[in-house]
Amino acid sequence: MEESQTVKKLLDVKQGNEIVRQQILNQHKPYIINVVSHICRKFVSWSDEESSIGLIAFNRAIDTYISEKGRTFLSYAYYIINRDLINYFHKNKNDNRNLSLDNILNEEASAISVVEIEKSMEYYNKKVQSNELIQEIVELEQELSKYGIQFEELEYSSPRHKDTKKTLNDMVGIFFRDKELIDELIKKKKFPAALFVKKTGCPVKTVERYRKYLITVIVVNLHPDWTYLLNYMSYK
Amino acid sequence: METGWIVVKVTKKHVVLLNSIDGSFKNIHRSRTQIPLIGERFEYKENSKAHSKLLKIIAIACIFVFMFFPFRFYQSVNSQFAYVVALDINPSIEIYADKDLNVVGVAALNKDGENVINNIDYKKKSLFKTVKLIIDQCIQKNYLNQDKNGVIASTVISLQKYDSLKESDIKNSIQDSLSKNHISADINIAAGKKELVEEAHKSLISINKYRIYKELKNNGINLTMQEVKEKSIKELSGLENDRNNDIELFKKPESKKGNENEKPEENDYGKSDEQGGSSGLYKGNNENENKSFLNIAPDDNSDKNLQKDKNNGNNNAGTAANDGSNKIQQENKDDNNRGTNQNTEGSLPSQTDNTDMNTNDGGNNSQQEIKNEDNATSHNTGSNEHPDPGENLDTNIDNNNSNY
Repeated sequence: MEESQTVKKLLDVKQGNEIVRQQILNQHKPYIINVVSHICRKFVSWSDEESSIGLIAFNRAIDTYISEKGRTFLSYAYYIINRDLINYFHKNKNDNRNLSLDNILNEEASAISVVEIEKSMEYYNKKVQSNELIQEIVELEQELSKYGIQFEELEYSSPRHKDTKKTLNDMVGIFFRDKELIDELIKKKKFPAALFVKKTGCPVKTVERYRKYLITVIVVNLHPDWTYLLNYMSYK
Repeated sequence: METGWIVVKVTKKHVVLLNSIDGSFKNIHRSRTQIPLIGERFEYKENSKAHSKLLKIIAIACIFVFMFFPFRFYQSVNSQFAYVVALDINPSIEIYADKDLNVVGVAALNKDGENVINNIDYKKKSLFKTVKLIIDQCIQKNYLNQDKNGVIASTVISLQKYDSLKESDIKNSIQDSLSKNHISADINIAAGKKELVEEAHKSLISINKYRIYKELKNNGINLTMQEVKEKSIKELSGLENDRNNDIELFKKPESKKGNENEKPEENDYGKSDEQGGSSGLYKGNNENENKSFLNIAPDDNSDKNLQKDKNNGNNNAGTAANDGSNKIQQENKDDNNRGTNQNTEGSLPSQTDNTDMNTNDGGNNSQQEIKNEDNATSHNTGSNEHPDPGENLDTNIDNNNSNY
């Protein structure tokens, strides 16, 4: 999703559109958890206190984000989450917590200087390929969950060899040329295996084996705004 | 460093990666503290090199394991075979026993052997009992009887690390059976190494024959495998006895051993004679006496020497015919044979033979007597006892002359 779209949405929320706020929050939950875990250097779940701090921080970011040059929403959100977590750690005076490197620089949590903001975001930007990509990933994850697919399940379905990759590409191509198939997929949130086999004569075994990956590729290709992902997974 | 992997998710155990080049997904194991950010570039190399190296090492290790595996497998299959006792009379039999000395298998190497074991129930019997049963059968089937001077050859081999089986135990079993049936026979028994089994089987002869063949070889008697196969155990055993007696004689000049040197085969005799001449086995007095006997003496005695040699030859030929009886005489006087039991046959016949010999060589005797007198001091001391082979004929004759 482009930054501009994000900005639009945020404006919407500022104007009181709570539904959109919820949408954004829900969509970014895996993201929040990931950031919190990364900062805490341990795997955090929603039952942990840190995760709620992160969620609150993200929410605050939605409200306070101002679109500026060199600053994307997600990098800003990262900064806020980071700051709030540091405050939390200081309050509890829990020395066992492992903090990410850049946090060590912050001795006084209360003094939030511009430098610190910059440093935090600099760190973040270095790490991530692109904020837009993150957004795309976040959205893809959300979309796939509707089909009952999780990222970690895709390794098995992924083609290893060039030949297989080509075969699958062809299959997706066929799929896209057939409106009926696409409609079936979107409607039922399931791969129309029987129909597909009937129309193409592809072996059922192949379809079953690579089903989840096929859906992923199709879904990506159904979102032309996911430029980064399309770059990786276009069937064309 | 464009490896092309992007983090899309972090789970409890894994980091899920997306390949930006081919669009495939991969799950990588992660450590507890390793929590990359979504969207982060991830450096991951397939590490195919390390993989193949490790695989190579594992493969080589497996080869080593499998090299040893068949060895162990072989052992476990044959682990029940702790000992083998080979018996040869005429029938040739191998008895296999486990570590508790129970018979686990019996093999017959010839028809006679088959004949014997077919009539024996050795299942679950002890090794000793089975040996007795076999001897009993051999007697029953007339392979051993009172008239024939039978020879029982046996070799006791431990196939594994066990050593609770002793030759003497087997010997006792054999003797028990013999005495129970009032049969006498020679027993030629020895222990052997397990390599003997393989070598004997390779050469397609019985373990006992192979053992004796080796023993003869060690003592300088080289038979061809063909000869070994053709000879009976009795013959081979006989060769051994003679050989052993010779050695005993050579070693102990004053021992009370048989004084005749005759052997069944001429070639053997010839060999022993050579050995006598080379003085390889002689000690002390013997050496000197032999030299005077065979070597070129001072001029005035040269003729005598030559004649003596001739006489020796004649005597040899003459006495060859009497080998059987002389041998017996030897055996009678032989105290420490190599574990062979001796027969008790009368010595009277042999002595008459000797006197016959004497008359034949009367003329020569006188000359030899002179010779003997020259060396009287050193020689006569031993005259009542059994002297050296080199002097055998002379002293025999002398003794006989004096005795009769």
